[in-house]
Amino acid sequence: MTPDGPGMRAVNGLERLINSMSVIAAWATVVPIALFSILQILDRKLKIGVSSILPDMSTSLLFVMIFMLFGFTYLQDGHVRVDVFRRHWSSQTQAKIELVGCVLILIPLSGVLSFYGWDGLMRTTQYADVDVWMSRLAGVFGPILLGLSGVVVIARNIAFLRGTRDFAAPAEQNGPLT
Amino acid sequence: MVEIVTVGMLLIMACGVFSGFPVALVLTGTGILGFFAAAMMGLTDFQHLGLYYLRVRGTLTNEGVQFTSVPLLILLGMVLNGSGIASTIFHTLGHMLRGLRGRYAIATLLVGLILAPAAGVIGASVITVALVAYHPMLNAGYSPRAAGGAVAASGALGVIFPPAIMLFFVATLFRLRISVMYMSMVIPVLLLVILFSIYFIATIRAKDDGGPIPEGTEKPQYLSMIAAIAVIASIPWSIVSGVATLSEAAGIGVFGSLLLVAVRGQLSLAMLHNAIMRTGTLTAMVFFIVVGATVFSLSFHLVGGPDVLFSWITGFNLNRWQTLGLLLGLVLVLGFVFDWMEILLVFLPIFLPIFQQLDFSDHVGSAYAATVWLGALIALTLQTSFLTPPFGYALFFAKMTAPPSVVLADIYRGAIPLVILEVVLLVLVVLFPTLVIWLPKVSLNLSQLSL
Repeated sequence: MTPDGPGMRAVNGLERLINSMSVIAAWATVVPIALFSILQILDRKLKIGVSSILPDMSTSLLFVMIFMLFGFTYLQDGHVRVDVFRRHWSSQTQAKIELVGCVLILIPLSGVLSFYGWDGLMRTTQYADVDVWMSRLAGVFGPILLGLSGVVVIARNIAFLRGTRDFAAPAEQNGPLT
Repeated sequence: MVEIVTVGMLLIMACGVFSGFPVALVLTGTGILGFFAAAMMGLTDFQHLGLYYLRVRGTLTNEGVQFTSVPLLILLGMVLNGSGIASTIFHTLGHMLRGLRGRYAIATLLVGLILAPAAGVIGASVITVALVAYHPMLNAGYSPRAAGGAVAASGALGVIFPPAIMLFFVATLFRLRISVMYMSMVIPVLLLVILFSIYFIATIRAKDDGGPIPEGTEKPQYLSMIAAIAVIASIPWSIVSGVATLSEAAGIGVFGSLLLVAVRGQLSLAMLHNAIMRTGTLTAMVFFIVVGATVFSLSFHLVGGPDVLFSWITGFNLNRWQTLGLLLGLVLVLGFVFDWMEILLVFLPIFLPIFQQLDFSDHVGSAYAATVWLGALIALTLQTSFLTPPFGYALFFAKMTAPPSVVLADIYRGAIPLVILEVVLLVLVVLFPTLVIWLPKVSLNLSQLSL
């Protein structure tokens, strides 16, 4: 394994940041969504009076989960790919495609989503409910994390193509594919 | 001009998708390019890009669709998988079926059915089954062909048996009650299991099959198996009986699975953490495709793409049966390279107007029943395509997790007879729609509703 230079260590730090944010987001959304679904049934029986808030809350939590985990999922190579041809290509070819895709699609998409997410956040009034605030904040931070995950993959693939890193990203983060 | 842009969008999408870059990102990128093309054609204004964002947000936060059930169903599958219940169920079934030829292959099929919620995606389903089933089958003297075929078939079965997530998206697409969609698949899938089982009993000649259980094999745990079945069955049951909505039922399933895992002494923070993170990433993966499909289909509609496709298909002057055959054939071919998510979220919405024009109410009984029947046919066709050589998704996953003694050609040879049986079932369902609509009718009658 080639030792990482300062630039690559910064990229690793960026990945740790994305991972930490995503772990917090996953726990903070999956568990409450499960709890709320049960609470809703109980509320119908016990008349606690929370039924009207819970569906909104659950839907917003789902939005938060989805947006905050886009980037993490990409770094884990968790997004669906059609690999009919890809599996026969060399790691170099795969790294080049990933690089081009990140520059042409992922980073611009992250910019567009962040821009409109920010616009939405700025239109949120102080009287908005907690669930609205949650989803609007995720609408800004989620795309930023997605963009940062793109930066991580770009940096690692450049290093791989220059021969200073052993594996391409994101597919070979944890070792070679074959 | 409209035709050029339509073909251009489809070509760019195809190139992007086959490059191996994530499908969701390719769809979004192609959608945004399509938007710019539409703006340059004067069909929209560049400033309207913000409306796309609002549409995406609106789609993801649409409470009417109960998207919150998706992470819960995934979590249920992850918790059960993490607890090793698949292995327990497999060995318990193997024990129950001792004396029967092909018992491990049949047990493999049944594990795929029981763990249907884990079958959010075809890969997860096949891998779950493969990890527990390959070695016992091969150790019992099964040919690599029989073992590979059984694993692939089992994984593919899981994606269409309630409460599989794919059925939720089929129901959403056709605006069907989820309970009706669930009920519609029960008889066809059970028929398929019976057909496959008869085939295995008739063809498998293994030296140790039907003999005593080998030493060192996991002991049968009937209570654990029954409890796991009860947890999963509680989801369709609570929906059909009107006790809970889909999201609530999935929540019940999650807590039932946690209870089961705790009773088995396998609940740990590490296991829970893994299940939650896997749930988060799988949910993000599914909904990123929803985002991509939304952006792509908005632009595709904006440039008039569906009209072009519609005029191409109607240009053939086909009757309704031929059109149905053509559409199902397209779904079959698409299923060779795409997972169900892309097909249901990207391609079927494009063809939906054509499906909606096909009037089979005289054949099936009513317009609603005909829609249920069409939904079931699409689900069965997709499942068939996942198993069809040389491209079937399930076959590749069955190979990825196979021991070196099982080569892809073995799995192909094992799958071909099963695909023939699937086609037989598809023909039966086409000819006898009652196979699909009888159970939904019965369940609705119990609730004093009609189909």
